Amino acid sequence: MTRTGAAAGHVGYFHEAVCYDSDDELLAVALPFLVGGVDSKEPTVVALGPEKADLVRRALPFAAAAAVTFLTGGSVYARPAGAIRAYRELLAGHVADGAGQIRIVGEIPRPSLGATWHWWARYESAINHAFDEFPLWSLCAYDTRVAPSAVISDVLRTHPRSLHADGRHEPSATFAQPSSFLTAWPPVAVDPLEAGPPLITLVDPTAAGARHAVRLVDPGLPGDDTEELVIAVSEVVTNALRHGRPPVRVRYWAGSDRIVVSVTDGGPGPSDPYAGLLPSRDSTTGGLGLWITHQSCNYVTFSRDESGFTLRLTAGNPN
Amino acid sequence: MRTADAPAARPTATGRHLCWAYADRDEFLGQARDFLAEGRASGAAVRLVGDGLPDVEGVPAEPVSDVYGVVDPAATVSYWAAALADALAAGHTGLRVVGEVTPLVRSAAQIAAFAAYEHQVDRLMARHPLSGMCAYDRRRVDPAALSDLASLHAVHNLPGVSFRLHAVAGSGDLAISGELDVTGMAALARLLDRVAPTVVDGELVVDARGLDFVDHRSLMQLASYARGRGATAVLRTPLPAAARLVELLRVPGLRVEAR
Repeated sequence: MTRTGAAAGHVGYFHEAVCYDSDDELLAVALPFLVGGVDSKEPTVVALGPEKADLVRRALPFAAAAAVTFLTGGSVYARPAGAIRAYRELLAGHVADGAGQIRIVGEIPRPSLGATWHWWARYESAINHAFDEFPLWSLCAYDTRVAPSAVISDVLRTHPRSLHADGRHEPSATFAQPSSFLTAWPPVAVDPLEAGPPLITLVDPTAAGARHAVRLVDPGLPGDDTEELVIAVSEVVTNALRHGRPPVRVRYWAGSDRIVVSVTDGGPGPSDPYAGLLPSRDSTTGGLGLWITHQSCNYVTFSRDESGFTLRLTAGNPN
Repeated sequence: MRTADAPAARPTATGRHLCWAYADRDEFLGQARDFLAEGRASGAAVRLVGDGLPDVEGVPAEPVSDVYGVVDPAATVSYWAAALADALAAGHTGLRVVGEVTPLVRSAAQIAAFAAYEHQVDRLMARHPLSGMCAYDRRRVDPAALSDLASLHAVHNLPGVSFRLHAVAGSGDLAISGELDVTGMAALARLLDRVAPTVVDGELVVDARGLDFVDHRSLMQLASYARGRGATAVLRTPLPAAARLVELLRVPGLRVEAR
């Protein structure tokens, strides 16, 4: 199997950022990339939001547009751990079907560039590892008109290279290996609810007690959000009791549209840089529970200070 | 926690099986009196088995060794099935028994045999008008063993027992109720081994309508147990969490049916 285009000769994941400041600039990069994939009979995928997907679809030659797969970006990018799993399955399927390279242009939806960016930055770093077993060339698009400068700074640290409208492929001077980026643990922005006193504080509770408290503070979130948080809280408290150091302190806040639960123990937190983003079958580390947690909450953050390790879970609207 | 303190009179074709753990003999005798009086009022034959007990509701206590001997689960279940048949033949609506069975659960081997018996007789009671109150003196039974034994009744009064493994009234099918998480895993493994639930057509069906929570470790444990029996575990539960976890984990040997 051979690879084509800029990724020719590359082994594994060819991960490129595209920071654009106009629709024309996005098209200048995306169109040759997609047409090149179709011409080489490579599985070629667009995972953009509806407006950008429309823009690309209309600009593509008719035959190429018909050969490109359009994923609805919103569902792919609901949660980082889910996106990694969905993409890994998509990629494995194409490789099983004999693909020599897969091309994807994707964009993380705009709301995720705000309050929940932290776990998407971890996603962008982790996929350097998580997708590296596949012959994937992807363009990760960021609109600099809406992406904050802190986001662009993380993009350059998590993408080994970037592609520019004039066709240049440029290595990123600030790229950090995932093992270092994911263990740096930058400070996490507090949820405004955390400024007030918690509704409930439990110290060394049973998992059952910690689950029950979620129901006590539930403002009536829609759908299965509360049930999924109950799953997550159970996993995180079980992990803290088994793998962390006492005391395990669990605090609960609720607003009209969300529940925030933080679980602090006196230990150093998980040592696996990919904790939560990739499933671990090693039951001695609690890694599978953390992965389930990342699949069950609308936002999860890790932080570490002199008092220990804190995992914060948000159900409902984290923004 | 479902407790046994408010038994409702309901003369039905299926019995009730409850566990009463006590630390106060008089309190136990009060429960036994209510249980037997209710049985008698519904037309059931009544019996009292226990060592050193006074008459209760005019029913004399039979020595434990006369009824149980050395507990052989199948033989003891047959004994009660025959006693029920006799009671029905004599015109009673059923049979109701209070058993103070503390002397039968002293050694580890006794506990294992009695646990197997508890589930077999639970299945008999779920399908026939035989009711039983199993009384244990919590001062004289190992606490972990007592938790296991209480878990084998749909109704018991022991606090801190997270789940129950019991027969479904009417069908006798296997049910798990309550909450399954890491705190109950060791007990679940022991009880599954003792109960050895039936595999039918390669499936080990668990009625989990009464299950309030299940975590991923317990689901994987059920799947692993079923695979060990050459079967697929089928968990019948409307819990969104169970379906969600199975979808995420894709554990071989496990299926959730949402009902």
